[in-house]
Amino acid sequence: MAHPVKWIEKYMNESTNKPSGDWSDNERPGAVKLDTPVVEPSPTSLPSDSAADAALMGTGRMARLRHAMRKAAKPRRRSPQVAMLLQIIPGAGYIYMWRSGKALLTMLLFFLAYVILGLRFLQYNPTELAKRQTPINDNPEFDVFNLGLATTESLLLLGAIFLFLWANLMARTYREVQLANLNLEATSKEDLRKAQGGWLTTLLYFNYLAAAVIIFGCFQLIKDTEFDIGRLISKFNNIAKYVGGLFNPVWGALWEPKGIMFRMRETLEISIVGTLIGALFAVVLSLLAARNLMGRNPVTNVLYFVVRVILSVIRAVPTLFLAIIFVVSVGVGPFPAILALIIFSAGLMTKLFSESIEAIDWGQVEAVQASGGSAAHVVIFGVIPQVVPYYISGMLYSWEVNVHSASVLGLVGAGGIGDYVRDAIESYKYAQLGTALLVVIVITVAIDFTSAYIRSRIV
Amino acid sequence: METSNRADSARGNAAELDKVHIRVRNLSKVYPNGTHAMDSVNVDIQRGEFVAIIGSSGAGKSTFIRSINRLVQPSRGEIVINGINTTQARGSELRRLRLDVAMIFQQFNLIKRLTVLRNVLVGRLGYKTGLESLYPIFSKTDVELALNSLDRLGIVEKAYLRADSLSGGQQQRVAIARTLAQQPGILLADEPVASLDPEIALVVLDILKRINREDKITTIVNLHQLDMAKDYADRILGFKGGRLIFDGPPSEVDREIYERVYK
Repeated sequence: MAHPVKWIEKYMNESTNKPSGDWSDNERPGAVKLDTPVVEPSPTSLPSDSAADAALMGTGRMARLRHAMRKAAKPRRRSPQVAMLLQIIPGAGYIYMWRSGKALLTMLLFFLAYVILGLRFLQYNPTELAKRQTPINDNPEFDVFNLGLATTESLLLLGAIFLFLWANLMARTYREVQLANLNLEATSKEDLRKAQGGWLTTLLYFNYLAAAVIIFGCFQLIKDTEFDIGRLISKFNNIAKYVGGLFNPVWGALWEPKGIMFRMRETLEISIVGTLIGALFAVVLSLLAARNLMGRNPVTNVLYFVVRVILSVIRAVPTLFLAIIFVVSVGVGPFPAILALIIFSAGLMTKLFSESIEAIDWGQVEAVQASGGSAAHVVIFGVIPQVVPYYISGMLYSWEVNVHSASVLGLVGAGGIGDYVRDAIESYKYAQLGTALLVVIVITVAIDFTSAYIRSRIV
Repeated sequence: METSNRADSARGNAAELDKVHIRVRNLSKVYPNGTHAMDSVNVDIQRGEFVAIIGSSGAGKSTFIRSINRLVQPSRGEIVINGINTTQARGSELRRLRLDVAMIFQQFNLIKRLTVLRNVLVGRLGYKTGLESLYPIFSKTDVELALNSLDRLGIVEKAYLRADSLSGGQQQRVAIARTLAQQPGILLADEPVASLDPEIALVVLDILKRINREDKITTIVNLHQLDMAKDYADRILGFKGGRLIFDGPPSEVDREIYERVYK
């Protein structure tokens, strides 16, 4: 939907102010028709009374609900004052205006702002802050141990920014509803002209100020997260020390027993086994997680939602976390890494696979059904042949990700090159550390390129 | 349900029942989005008839055809095929119904990544039962039948090509071969020629007509073009706005009927 101001400008540029076209019944006669956001009835629908509707749509409770919602969404006069006051709960005013997308976005942004502000308030401790600003603690080394206390100025600034955005939101809403009403009700050009000027129009200029304030707020956040370029520059020689081996590799470290190549082979094996076993699970789960296969029947629909929720939970757990859990429960070595990768990559591949199932040509499924095929026939003949290339591509992609993950998992004792890196750091062998990094980079890049090339050829 | 059907058929005249292949009563469909696609359609289709359905887009032609093999579940009314009410068939009952009611589609709906022969064998799936049916290997007789079907349509030499390497007309012939392999009593065709060139469209309709005559398969075809319907059909049904507004032989279709159906 275009912004109301745009409609008015468009109208004012027209040479005639004579209303033309037909009126839809929700507008009062004589109103200037500027835009038609009216839901047109589908040409195939038959005129019939609502009682017959209800009788025929007996099972379609959702359908009736959707119908009612569509009716409520029709443009009508709304009170700007009510909309503005509702915005005290950010987003509620947009719900009143029947703008669900704007409402959700506003709620999300303001929720984030609440969280940040709230957390900063919790970390506000003036006495502790004063103690830590003594000359002794001015040593930048101590910044590493900064507990993230909020300064008074930063809190006040963040609060002011927040209040300003809040007020701006309410004023914008008032203006928006007012203009939408004008669009419905204006009978002449003069009516529309009334919308120009006045303090509310002036307020629109404050949008630029709001943008500036948001940018300023971001700087406050940068300060709060102790982002410090100076510290990076002063510590640069450390980085050079740790990764110097990258440019001056110790080739001898490659082939020694339990050396870099031994660990790298372990990493690759972990990633391959993890991907393959994960794919076995994903092939089965993807059928259960595909909406077009499962959504046609209440029982399978419930199963679909259960599988979806479980998969979302699984994907939300970081692989490193899974690896730590398995290391402490089944012991160190490549085995816990494989377990972690199976779970993670099964979740990832199920998502990729089920999305490709959802994109299949349903006509081919219908053809199998129309020949009297069973549900299993539909999967074997109607679905699988269509998705095979996407499954292979998804597996390759998952393998790429697993190689990255497997390189890190050794840091928590789960085998692979990460194990070597941890050893090298703990025994101050920085040259070997750099060499290991070099090998990881070369092999991972090679795998990424190959896999991406193959994927581009098969899909 | 089952018993009431039997009682129904017992009451009817046996001779008349034998002639009526598909009996449709009060058939209505309301889609979940509130669209009334079909409203109280009543029609009897005789055994071996070649019926063409005409009407503009959204008139309910597709909904009607798809209700017969239940790719669309009607909201109200009933369909009786061979004296058996199929409107509520589920599971294996529904599979048996679909085995007898073959269908070809506007977009051919071949499984593009499989060979032509395998596509034709999909028509045999309904006959396979049990665990062995999940294994995509077909018996010698099935393969023989599939090759014969392809031979009848003159494309047997394409049997081992991938389905998507064929032209549109050839793909539609493969789809027809698939329905032949199914050995159905009824053949439904949902806009079978809408995505084909005019000459190839005539070839496909010739084939459908020949199958209808030779195999005595009751054939129901959705067509956009009135002239084709008049040339090929024994009987024409005119749909408008979900209602059946014309039912008669092609000779009765005149200017006035045309106006009523399409305007």
